[in-house]
Amino acid sequence: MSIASMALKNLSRQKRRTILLASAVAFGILVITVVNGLTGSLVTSLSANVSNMVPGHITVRGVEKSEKGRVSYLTKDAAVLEKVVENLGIPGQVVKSTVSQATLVSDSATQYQNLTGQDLGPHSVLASRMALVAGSFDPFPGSNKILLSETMAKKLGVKLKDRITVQSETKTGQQNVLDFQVGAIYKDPGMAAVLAGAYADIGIVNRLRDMTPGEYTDLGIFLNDVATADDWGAKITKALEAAQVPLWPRGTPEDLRKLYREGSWTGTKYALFTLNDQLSMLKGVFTAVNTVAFGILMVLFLVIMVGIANTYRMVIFERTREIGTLRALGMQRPQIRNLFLLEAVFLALGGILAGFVLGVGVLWGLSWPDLSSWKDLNVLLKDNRLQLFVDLGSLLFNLVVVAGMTVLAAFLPARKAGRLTPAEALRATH
Amino acid sequence: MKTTLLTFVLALTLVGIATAEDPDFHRILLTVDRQATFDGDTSAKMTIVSKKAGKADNILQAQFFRKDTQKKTVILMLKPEVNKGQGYLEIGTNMIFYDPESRKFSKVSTSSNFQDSNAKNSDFEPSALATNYSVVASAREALQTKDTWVLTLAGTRDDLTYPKRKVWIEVSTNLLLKSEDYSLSDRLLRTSLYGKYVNLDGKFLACKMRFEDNIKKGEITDMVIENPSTAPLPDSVFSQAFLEKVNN
Repeated sequence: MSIASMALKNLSRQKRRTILLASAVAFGILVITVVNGLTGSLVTSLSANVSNMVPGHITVRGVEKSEKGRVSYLTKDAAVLEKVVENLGIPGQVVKSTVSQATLVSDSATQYQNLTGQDLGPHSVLASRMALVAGSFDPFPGSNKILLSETMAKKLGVKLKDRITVQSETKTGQQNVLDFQVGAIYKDPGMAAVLAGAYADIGIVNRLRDMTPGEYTDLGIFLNDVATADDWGAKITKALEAAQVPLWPRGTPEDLRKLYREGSWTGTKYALFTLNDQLSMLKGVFTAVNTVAFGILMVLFLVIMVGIANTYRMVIFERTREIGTLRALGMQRPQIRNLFLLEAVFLALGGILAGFVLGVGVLWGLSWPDLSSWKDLNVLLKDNRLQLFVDLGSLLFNLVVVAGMTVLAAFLPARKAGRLTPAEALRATH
Repeated sequence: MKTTLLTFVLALTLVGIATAEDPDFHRILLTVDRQATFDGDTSAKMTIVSKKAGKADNILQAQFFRKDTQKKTVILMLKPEVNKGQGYLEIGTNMIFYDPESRKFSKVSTSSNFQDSNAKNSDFEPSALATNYSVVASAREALQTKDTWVLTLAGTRDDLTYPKRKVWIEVSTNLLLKSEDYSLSDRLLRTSLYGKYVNLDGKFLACKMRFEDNIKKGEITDMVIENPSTAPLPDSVFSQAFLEKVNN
């Protein structure tokens, strides 16, 4: 009989004790699996949903500062920039946008929101990524149609074909106003509506900002695989540096905004940020939740370790004569030690497996309810439901840590068992 | 000879008529600016009441300090309690805002609205109509009972809050009585009325103003200036340290 099968058999001899210890391990794993799964689900849904609303998975933004210190977003004479992006052969689509902070005024309300100008139409990138609830993309090219979110349309009290007035600053800070007509309304992105904003044809938004037809603020790249955004971001940065395009250091849009206003620079410099940079603050919150959950798990396992160590002391005490017999039959010291260590490993693995299966079950259960009533949070949902997310990498990490801690807890009692001499063990009266 | 003399007399008459009908409007704008720009320091308390449809009136009180000779302005918020201690410092065309809550300064645009009212930050700058605008059309009409020049102005720079304006200037006093501010697309954005002036050492300070938003219907801001003073102010008032100090 191998040591492994002996270890398994020994575990089954004290079923209640084994189940109790494994349950403690399982509970810890259940908690960490559910927390990791929930945060992972929220981050994945958030990235997928928000990626439809930003200028690109990777955005290159022209920032201009005048002699008088006025900072404005403007990409002009961008042939070098566009050539660099084209030459890299990035798998995805390139979209030029003009982004403007605007005041939307209807007959009954006033709202402040970003207005993004793009080449809109039935075959545009936005049309392929945005679900409409009213209207269509057909009349957008070259017109004064505006695309609003459900939330914004409701706040402004407008419906399809209603007129709204949009007030904004030109690139040099002058006040400007143009009339728009509601051309379409898109599915409510909940709390991301502020980020998403309103959309219109780039030509009319350029007119609002007093920009010429060839100018824009952002060169956006929508990648076929959004997970490669940071890699491509690094490659584009390198290529732009090689082409001597003046660049800001990488950072979140908030960090960059602070940089633009500081210092005594003038001229045009380009800022590059990825979807991950834009979501870094939100992702930081989820990472913090995961870290706290892992910390709690570690405290829990320290308590469990003490329990396992005490249990194994008791087990060895109870099985001293048995150890003596095994030693008398020729089993070596390391084999005795390994027998108890393997018992601990199997105990941990059993607990981890049970905890993981239960955790996935809980996540699966949570992914069923229709949460469409959570309007403000639906940017965190996929098809109005929590997405089932299982992080196998984090499972593997937890598995190694928990198994390691369990073995560590059992190590001292196991070593003590291995050091018993056969005669001494056989003489034991307990 | 007779014909030449007749032509000369006719030409002189025409020039005379033209001069009588078309005064030097640039000079009028310069007078408007000069009358509203103080040679020394100025300070006053201002009360701003903003009315928005369906909302309670928003009442603000602030103290402003101006040193026009150095193009410096400080505005210190007094009321409401939540805004108390907030301050603005403008030097030249650069304006910064101090938030005592975060103890941080941030740059603000002079074309932004002042504290969510219909007054713009640029409304607190010394008048510079003659520098910033050129007259493109003129007329003479009565504004209520007052005889006024109505001048249509076009911006001479591309970074002015309002690229086009129409101003009503009283003929007898050269005081600005009304202004219509237009967008780049020629839409009327705001109507400003200057109802009352106070004479301080030969200069004029508008002490009763109304700003009406022509895009956001029903949004009106009334501004009243009280206790104006021309007492000298220490240079230290026009500094970031002052804004921090008044909050300690």
